[in-house]
Amino acid sequence: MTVPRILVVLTLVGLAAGLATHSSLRLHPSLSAASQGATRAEAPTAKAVAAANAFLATLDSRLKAKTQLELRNDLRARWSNLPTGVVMQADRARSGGPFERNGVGLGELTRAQQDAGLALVAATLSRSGYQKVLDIVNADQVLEGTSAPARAPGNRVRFGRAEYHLAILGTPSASEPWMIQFGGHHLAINVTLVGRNSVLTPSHTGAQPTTYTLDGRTVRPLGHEEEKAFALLTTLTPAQQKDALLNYKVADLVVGPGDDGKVIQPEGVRASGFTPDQKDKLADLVSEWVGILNDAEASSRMADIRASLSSTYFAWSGPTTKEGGAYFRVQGPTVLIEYAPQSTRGDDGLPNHIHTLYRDPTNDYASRLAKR
Amino acid sequence: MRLILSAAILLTVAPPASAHRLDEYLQATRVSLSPDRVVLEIDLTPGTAVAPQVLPMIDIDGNGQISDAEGQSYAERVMSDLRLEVDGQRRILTLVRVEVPSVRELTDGLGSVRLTVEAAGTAAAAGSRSLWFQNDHQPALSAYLVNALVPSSARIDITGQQRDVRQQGIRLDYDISSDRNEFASLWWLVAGIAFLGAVRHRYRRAQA
Repeated sequence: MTVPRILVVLTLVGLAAGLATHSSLRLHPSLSAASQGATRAEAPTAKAVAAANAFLATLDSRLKAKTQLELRNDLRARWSNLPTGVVMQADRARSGGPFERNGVGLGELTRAQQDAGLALVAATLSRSGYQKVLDIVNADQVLEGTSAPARAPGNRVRFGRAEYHLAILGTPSASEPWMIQFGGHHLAINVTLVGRNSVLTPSHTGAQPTTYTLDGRTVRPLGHEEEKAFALLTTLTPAQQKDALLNYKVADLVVGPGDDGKVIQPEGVRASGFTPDQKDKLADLVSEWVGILNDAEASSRMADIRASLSSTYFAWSGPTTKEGGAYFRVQGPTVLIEYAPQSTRGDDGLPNHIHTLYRDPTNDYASRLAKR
Repeated sequence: MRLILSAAILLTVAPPASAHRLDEYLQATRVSLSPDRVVLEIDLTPGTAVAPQVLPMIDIDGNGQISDAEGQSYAERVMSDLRLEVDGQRRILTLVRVEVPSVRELTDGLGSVRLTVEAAGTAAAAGSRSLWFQNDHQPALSAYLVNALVPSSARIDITGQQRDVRQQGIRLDYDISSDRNEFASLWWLVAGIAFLGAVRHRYRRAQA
């Protein structure tokens, strides 16, 4: 081989190796066709914009200033599982230090203003998702009923419907990013809207009490979540259960409020070995969180999550019988769900206090969409 | 409409007797691995029932205010109860940051002491490694969480996690691969030299 040929070969080999190494450093999670398809005809953004403007029109300048805030990274991170009446903590770098919940409390609004505010929340969610939100709020009203008589003088902690806050971050728009936050004790609905898309992550649901009666009807705000997780667990083979079961107790959420941007190392059984029925049950479980969002966006999200089910893990800690109290986690490339019963129990001996969290490590606050 | 109406109904129900009460000192640690250091983020949240036992450790003079010196002192007390080993060698922990809430928030069971500590100078060379972390701070009062974060460096691959049932301790096995950036640079250098060589050789032949 002549000298020039050797040099050409070396050049090509060097370029190929350099490019291969360089490109491998830039790998990022691929987007499914479903998530890339942002051209659905019936996007709910227009509905949300109209509802937001209608709500804002009911407010005087003082309430409007309280409700409508800038869409800033530190402000959007100001949500929590905690009740009002306390100054909440979060990572200073993300939320700017201790904070109070954004927005205006329902208790500060007239009935007509409340209706307009709740109509805005309903406009961004599915029917079942909105019902779940109401069930959580009503559970907190129950908690206020039992807590208020025993409340010590000077205790600022308050529960109940009046304490739920609604905020609009940014300007309602069909093209520019903006955000709706509706939250209080055990609830943080964070919907970021970017053009036709809306994103529910990160969001928090919880309940205390976990079961109550309303109009003669037994309500379990997070009952489906527990039942579907248990249904999946019971279909696992002994070998799969062995992988799924964590050998340690989990006392609370691992990536809770204030922990934006943190991604934990996955654990549990990987769904790559699941049967089609098991995968369906896993997807059905995930849909309890994804399906809170409006139907159009939720079905797109579910398609995304289904596409990566084989890289998704299911982990369980606690009793494998229906006595309750077990923690579980679903973690995939674009989803993290935690369900964490707390240590307190009701009169029936069952857990009466649950925290859950729903995140998308690649797209919390629509960060992936905003980069486009 | 039915949904909104149901939300508006004031509830007159017979709820289970319960309260927002926590009877544990929740200590949550996140372990972050990078090639040359280990960072621990520790959130310590006393529940209302145990706050009276925890608070005197932090508000040492009992004046109802937590000074920076008291926050620093408590952080050091916690750190003295931690043990971190990499490849069987104990590592010295350095306090990076401490945030302490007000006495009121701690008393209400709704505030967290947040520590960031790190062990720098861990071996960065390629190979299989193991880390062991143990938290022995106030075990009689506490519930623990400990988790590894997905490493931000593509060079680190966590291959195993083992905990005790209380999550006071965790063992992490992980591999550090060679620095691909260095290899990439090397290959680009080889390509560049070869290209220049080829151009020079061709130029000389043309001159001849």
